[in-house]
Amino acid sequence: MTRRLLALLLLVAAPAAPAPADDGQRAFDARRYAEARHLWTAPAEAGDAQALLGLGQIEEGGRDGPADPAAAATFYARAAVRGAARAAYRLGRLYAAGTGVPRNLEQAEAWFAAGAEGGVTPTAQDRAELRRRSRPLAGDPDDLTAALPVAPAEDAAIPRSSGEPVVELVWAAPPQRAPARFFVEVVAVEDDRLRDVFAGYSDRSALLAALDPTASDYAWRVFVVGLDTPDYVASPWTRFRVASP
Amino acid sequence: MAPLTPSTGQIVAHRGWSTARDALIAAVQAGPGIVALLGPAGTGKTLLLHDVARALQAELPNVLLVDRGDAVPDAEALQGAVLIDEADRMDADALANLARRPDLAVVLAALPAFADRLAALPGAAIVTLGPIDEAEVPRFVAERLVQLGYAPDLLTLSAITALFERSGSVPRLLHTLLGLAVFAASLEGAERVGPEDVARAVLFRDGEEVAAEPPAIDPDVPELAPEPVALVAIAPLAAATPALRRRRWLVGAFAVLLICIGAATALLRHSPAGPPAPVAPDPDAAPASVATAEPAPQPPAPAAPTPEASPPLASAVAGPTLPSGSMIRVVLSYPMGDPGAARRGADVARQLRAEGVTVGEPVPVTPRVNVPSLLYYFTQDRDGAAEIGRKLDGRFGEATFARLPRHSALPRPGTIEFLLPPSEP
Repeated sequence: MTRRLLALLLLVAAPAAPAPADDGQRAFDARRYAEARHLWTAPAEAGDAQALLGLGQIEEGGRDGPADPAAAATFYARAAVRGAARAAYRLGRLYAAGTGVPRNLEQAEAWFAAGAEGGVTPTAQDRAELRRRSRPLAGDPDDLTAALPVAPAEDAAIPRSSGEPVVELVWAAPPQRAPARFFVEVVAVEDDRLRDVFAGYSDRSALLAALDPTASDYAWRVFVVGLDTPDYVASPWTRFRVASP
Repeated sequence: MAPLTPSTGQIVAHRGWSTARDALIAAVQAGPGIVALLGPAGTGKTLLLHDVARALQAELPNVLLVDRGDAVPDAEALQGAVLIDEADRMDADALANLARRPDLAVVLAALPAFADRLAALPGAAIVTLGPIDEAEVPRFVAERLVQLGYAPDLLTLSAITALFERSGSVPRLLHTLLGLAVFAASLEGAERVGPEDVARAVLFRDGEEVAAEPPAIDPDVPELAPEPVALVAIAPLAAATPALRRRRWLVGAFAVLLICIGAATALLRHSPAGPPAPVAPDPDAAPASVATAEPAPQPPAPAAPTPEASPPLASAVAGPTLPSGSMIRVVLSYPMGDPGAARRGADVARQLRAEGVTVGEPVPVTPRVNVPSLLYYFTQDRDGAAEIGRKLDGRFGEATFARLPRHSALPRPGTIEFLLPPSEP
């Protein structure tokens, strides 16, 4: 129940919490993109969905320097798992186009569906084009392609939050020749052992994982698990730590 | 983002639903005791539990609804009636603590396999919720169509038959295919939905609809592209003109499609689990983790703790070396009502832990015959299972691959199930 309340709190409070996120939106609307980036950076690090979405828009559109769709996809994924439906929609478009992420229509569908749950549905054009792109992949359907952890990146330090610690886990999801799901493991790396902190299946290429308030060093990885074949393939481990600001 | 289970305001009741509802309410009103609501995924347990909770809250002072079995407050703090969804997630201690409260009325909603665990709770009653009776399907479909704003006779009789056959009468799947079939018919400009539309709905759901042309999105202009539309609430058709009806048909069909694809993608084709459902070695029956549908943005709970802090991993040397393979975990069970097997189970768990293997607390299950003792579920876990067999000196035979039925919940990679055989008579 506590976790439900935390989730609710995150979903409800995140968009409205720090004023700089709203200031960032005003700067963005006024096309002062460098200022918007500056104003959004700190709230984004604290998990503000609006700020993460905004930074994604800056990166995708090349509003403050060259476009970086891979960075945009990561920002969108982080915002989406924090409840930003529009970010989920935009990430769906990136997966549909294969821009900044591998082209993966399953993931495009999954993120469109996530956006639709929040009231942002794909346009008829999105859907029509998505269907036009659908083609079976060549190759052995039993072969699974590993996903690649993106965020937190290797040796990244994420700020310790005041409440229950959580982290947005994002991975690049290559298309699969057969149906598959993701399984994510997070372990606390302690002196002489690894301790389970989070484990769970996901159909989308990102999720929000609860961490252990007593731990600071972590490692995570993602498995691609076949649904039609009894196989899985694991990504490499990625270490990160939670640091006091 | 909204949960995938629809709002209880959109219930279409069927006979089995009403019977289960009446039985649950009567059981709680009768006083303390445990009653389980069991049914396969998609039959509507969550909706029913919410509906029952609402009904009881109007009559009783203390009615608590808990959404997940691993989020149940301490039993000491409970009073009155408590309704627990996803009770499969409850650990053995939490369940035992509830059973020790003779003053509580408890309703536990879970998948059918939970019945194994109920056997350990004296006096627990079971209410089952199954699919819709075949005879009820036409009425069910008609009511659902009206809810969605369509004419109740939108489907031909043969389409209804096809819908029944393709969905197995499981309400959630039936809802999904119905929405997709309406969408398929709208693409063809058909006035009514026929069996061919239901067949196309199945293709949509399974992602096998392959189209012709390659892409043409310009991904570079996302901010200039048409803004996505919000979901459209569809008014009943009664007052609509034919032209308006047609427009609503198309718009509504798209809305229904989008909802259904989300649900279908997350729930049906990829097993009944949505995004991050925490997984822990499930102590019961098959080692399949208990999985439920939840939207992505909710922070998932951490994995249920292993019974003790994991020792250095089986496949890793001492120290926090990160293993390249899976982290082997043994789910150990023994035949219920067999004290000798329970003792042996505890001994085996101790032995394996002493050798650095992560082992869940042994759990009693309904005795099964002719089942190999040591099972693994993924090709990549064959060596790990064999290693467990060697640690047990080969006393329990060779590790055996167990194929999971399609659509069943997936176990965690690295799960090895060890079923202790019954004691010799």
